[in-house]
Amino acid sequence: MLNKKHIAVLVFGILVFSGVALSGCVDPEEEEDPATFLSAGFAWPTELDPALGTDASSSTAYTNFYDPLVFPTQEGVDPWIAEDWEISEDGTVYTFELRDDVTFHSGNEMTAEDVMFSMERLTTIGEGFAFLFADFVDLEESEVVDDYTIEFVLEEPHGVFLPSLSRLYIVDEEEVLDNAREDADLIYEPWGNDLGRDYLLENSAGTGPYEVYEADVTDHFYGERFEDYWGPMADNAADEFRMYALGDPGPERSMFGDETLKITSEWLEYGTVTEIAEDHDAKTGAYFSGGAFYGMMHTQKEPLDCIHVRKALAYAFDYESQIDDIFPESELPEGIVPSILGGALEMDMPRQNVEKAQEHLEDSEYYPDIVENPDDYAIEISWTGAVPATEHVAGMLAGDLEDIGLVGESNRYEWGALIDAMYDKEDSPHIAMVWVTAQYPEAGSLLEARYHSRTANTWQQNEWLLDDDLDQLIDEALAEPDIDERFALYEQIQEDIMEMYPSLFLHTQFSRHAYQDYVTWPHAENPEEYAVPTIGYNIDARMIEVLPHDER
Amino acid sequence: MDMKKYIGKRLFWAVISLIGLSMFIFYFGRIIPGDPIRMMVDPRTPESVVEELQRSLALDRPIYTQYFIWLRRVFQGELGFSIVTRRSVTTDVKRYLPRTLELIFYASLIQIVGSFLLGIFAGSNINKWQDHITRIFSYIGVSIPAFVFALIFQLVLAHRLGLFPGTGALTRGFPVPTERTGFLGLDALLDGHINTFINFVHHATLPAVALAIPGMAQVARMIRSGMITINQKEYISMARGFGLPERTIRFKYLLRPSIIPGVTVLGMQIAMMLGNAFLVEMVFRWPGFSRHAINAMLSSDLNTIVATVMIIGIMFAIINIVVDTLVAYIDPRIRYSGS
Repeated sequence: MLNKKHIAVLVFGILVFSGVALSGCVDPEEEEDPATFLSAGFAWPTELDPALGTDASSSTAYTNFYDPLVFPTQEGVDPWIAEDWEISEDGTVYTFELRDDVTFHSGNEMTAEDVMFSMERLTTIGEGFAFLFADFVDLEESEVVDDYTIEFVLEEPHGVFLPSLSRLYIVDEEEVLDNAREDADLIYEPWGNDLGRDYLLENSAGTGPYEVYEADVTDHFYGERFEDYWGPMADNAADEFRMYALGDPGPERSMFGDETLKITSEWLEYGTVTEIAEDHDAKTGAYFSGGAFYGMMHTQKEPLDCIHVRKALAYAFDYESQIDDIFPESELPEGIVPSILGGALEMDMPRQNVEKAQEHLEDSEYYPDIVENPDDYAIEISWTGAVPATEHVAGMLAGDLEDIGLVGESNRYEWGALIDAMYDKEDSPHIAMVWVTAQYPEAGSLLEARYHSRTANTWQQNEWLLDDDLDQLIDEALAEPDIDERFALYEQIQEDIMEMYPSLFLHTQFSRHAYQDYVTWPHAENPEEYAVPTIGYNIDARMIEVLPHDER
Repeated sequence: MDMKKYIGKRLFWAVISLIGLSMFIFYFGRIIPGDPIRMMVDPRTPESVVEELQRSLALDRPIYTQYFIWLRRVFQGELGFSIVTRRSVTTDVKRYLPRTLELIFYASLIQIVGSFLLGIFAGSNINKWQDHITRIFSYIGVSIPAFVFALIFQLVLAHRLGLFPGTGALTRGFPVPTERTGFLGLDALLDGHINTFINFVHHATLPAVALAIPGMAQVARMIRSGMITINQKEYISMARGFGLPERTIRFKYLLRPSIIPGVTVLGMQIAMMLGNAFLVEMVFRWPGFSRHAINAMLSSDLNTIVATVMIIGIMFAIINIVVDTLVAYIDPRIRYSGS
């Protein structure tokens, strides 16, 4: 029975709980209007320094806080900071005319010196997108012609130099050097300082549409609209753009519910995105995110060193079910590289045909042994714990292999362990399932990353093709200044690669997001027209409208 | 053994244990698969740049050399370079650890008060409904991990009912306190921003309660069991026989010996909160060190991993000493048997 003491304890407990709960009624000094900002979730860590990152979230930060020299589009590149350009006949000298109305967030005027410094800083640090330029640009010969003209000289012709410049983000030389540290662990010569690495971790020094005003390198970046921005902005572009470290369903649901979050992150499972949208009467949208999902087959490891076994695998896998059951936001591939990329070739891609798979397996020199001792030819299918959905694909593939008499072993790797394994030809698994994205809007970016020997010891290639003829052809294509001829060479490369059956072309990657119903996002709502086939360019806050209350 | 010697001995062994722990975690951190530099940079980064970064982190040296370099720098107050935040781990510790410590402080208050109240409540009402309810709560509390409570609280109390904020430590619009101590709540009070402090407590409540429940349940059970055992001792019957007031028996003769095992476990539970905070901070996006440490571990950020384990180790060591001292104070026989 309850006595007075118990009732007193109960009442005290209820009072404490209510007190704490009601403390939420304390109002902030400034009430925030959700219509004034745009926010999105991202995988973390995200690099704010444009000389360090290459992933989707870092690239998104660069799109919003910096400006590239040229802007990537579905057709190639558009003038941006560079208004116009000329390319010498031998394809080694690129002369750019720059805009004269661009100012940095610091108030400094942007000139050709800043563009030169940005290139020097990027290639000297050597990380991030430096690999696109470091081996080709001759900095000794390149020069600033005048305040608004710059001339880049290349060591040799390099046709993809122009689209690659969509990854050269312009930094404020004066601001960076004023804030550079001379006592850092990494010191760069001849500057004798850290080239602003420490400073740019949590500060922006760009000309972009948003200017960083608060940053926590482990958690978020907040930017406010740059009033002196030179470029186009949508009518109702948000006053602020915020990037959050997210990816777990719980916090995303909660933040989406209280409107702190306007766009969910890209790595949420399809079902979660749909649920969030349904729960809050929000929209969903998807756009091509720049890459494709591959089952990379080790072409130098038994039994995958036999093309017939590789063909058998290519026809054994159930591609449609993978899309229907696991990645409904993605699409079946129409070629080796996503068709939205310049120079992509649409091809007749393998689809599940068990009979055909069986025939190819029987053509293999290993077949008699496989029948006798299938366990001796077990195929290791690696997947990474970082993306749990890949386990389902590995399991699905193992099941399909069983149908044709092969043994598939699904093995989980942590991302670091997989990188280590793929660094060595002997340790690389039979099949690695990995997404690879294009870094500029041309097929050449993916063809080089996926099949050139220079990536054979990285996580971008488990095939270990090491084919000199193919390398030469890829190099020739990348060097070709004429875009039509370059695309023709890309097509030839894709045909050559397809003949080798080096990979399982699993799907073309789409990023799917839930976003608030009062947000108008052209890239997600009309991807055919607006989506940019380069990672990091589709959450472009200046083009996304956040409608005010009276216009909803 | 007098109290000073007793504490000195405990301190000595704590330092030895921490040195052993640092060697252990340093070695194992460096032999787990995943080259941290290759995980940090783009796969197309030139080998020369990768080697330069490895050199700057001394990763090109033998592990024992790396350890001594690290140890020397630790004594200079420098915990090494983080490949996740790309700055000194010392900076990250200074910035994020206070947020975790103040969450643990809040959770500890809830845990101490809650476990004692529940334990005494149940122990004083054996086999009555009060006891049954406390036992059910205790079973649920010890069998469900803190992060599950965190998820349930977030979904129900924050997301569905809207009684508490679901993420973060402060609502935007409240003045951010001047950084004096690094402790957000304390800095808000020092600034005289009472509303900011209240808002901070409002944010901290759900993660703190989630963190507190498992330990609270465990300690409440121990206090209850202790009270039942001691209640059957002859000296308690004798005290009752002499007609001493029930209040005196309960609080002077029954409770004091009953709480000794509870205090020991309570100390360990508070120290363990730093570990439990890993997932709770993730769920609530609490801007603390534990959340940062999870990302560091997933990214093979060696120096942050070592720093995290050492911080947990130091917390255990400190709390161990405090608890041992407290127990020795409550029961002097323990102190003397130590000699």
